[in-house]
Amino acid sequence: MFRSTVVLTTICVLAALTLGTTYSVTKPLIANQEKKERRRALTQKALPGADEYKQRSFEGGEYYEGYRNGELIGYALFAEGDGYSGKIDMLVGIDREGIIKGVGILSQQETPGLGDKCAEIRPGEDRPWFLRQFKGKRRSELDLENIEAITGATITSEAIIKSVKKTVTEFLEKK
Amino acid sequence: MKSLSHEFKKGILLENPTFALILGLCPTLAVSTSVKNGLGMGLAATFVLLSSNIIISSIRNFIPYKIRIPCFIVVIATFVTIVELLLKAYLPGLSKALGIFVPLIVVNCIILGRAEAFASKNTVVRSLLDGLGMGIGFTLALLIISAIREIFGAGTIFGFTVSASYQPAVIMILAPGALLTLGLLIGLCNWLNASSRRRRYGSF
Repeated sequence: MFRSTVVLTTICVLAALTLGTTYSVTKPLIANQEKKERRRALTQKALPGADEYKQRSFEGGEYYEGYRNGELIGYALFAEGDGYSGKIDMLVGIDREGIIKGVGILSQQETPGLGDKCAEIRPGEDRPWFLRQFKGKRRSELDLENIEAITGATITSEAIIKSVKKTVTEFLEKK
Repeated sequence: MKSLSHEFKKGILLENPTFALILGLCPTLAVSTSVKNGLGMGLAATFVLLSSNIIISSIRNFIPYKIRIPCFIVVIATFVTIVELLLKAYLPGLSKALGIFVPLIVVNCIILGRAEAFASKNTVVRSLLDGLGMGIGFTLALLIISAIREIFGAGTIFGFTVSASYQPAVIMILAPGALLTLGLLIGLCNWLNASSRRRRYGSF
């Protein structure tokens, strides 16, 4: 009985030490990858077409401004939705009137085959079909009547729609 | 006592974990939609299987029988977490593609199965060979299934288009295609093993 405790504890301590070391070694690399992913979401999904991006902050957090030929073409905002299995982090691009230019998902942990279809790209296409629907919509059109939900993943769909609408609304009010 | 080369070779065909032992089918079905994903999963799982077999075999005389399962799980989960962190740091594309199935390697029955059935009862050298053979067998199984599903379901192999005029059958990428392919391959493997047994020993 005592021996069992000693053995299991020793194994767990050694495991923890190994994991702690691996974690600290990979932490900067993983942070770097996340930064690259954010850059890709910004320039290709949320706010494409700009040649210069500036990072700014307001009382709600940070956001990006996109410029083309020195002219402001829009903003990219961080949105966070309460999905079915955790937070869904997104980058939402809008033009100066508040019309959506694009939505990029930074991270999600939704159910494979159901909720994770929010990031699914159909064969032959280049962008997730669910997110493509957001482009060109105004705030008032962000609901389940104008945007087709993912079959079998209502909570995921609603979470994304609601958080995009809330983020854009709050930004335009506070700015 | 079986030869060392037998311990290695058995995992590849005779006791192939996927087709003969019928272990680890959930990740097999889910991940084998493309050769790239199948290969990635196979190599990740092989690394975990090899490492956990070696460690568990080396401490097998110290683990009291009653708590062997928690001990195995801690060892396996540690290696899976290491793989997860390494993938996120060095191969983020593969990490995203495999997604939730990387942490699920912890409950891949092949790994716990070999730990319990083999590594806890055999020497380190034999366990190493067993892990390597089973890992290669699993990877091969994934490659074969993924190749079939990708070619017929998407018209590509490893991302390269096979034939421009072929209209892919999307069902192969979905669950029914996975089960059909797997079932037919298990049947083929059983037939091959049975006919090789018949040749060696006469009918049984």
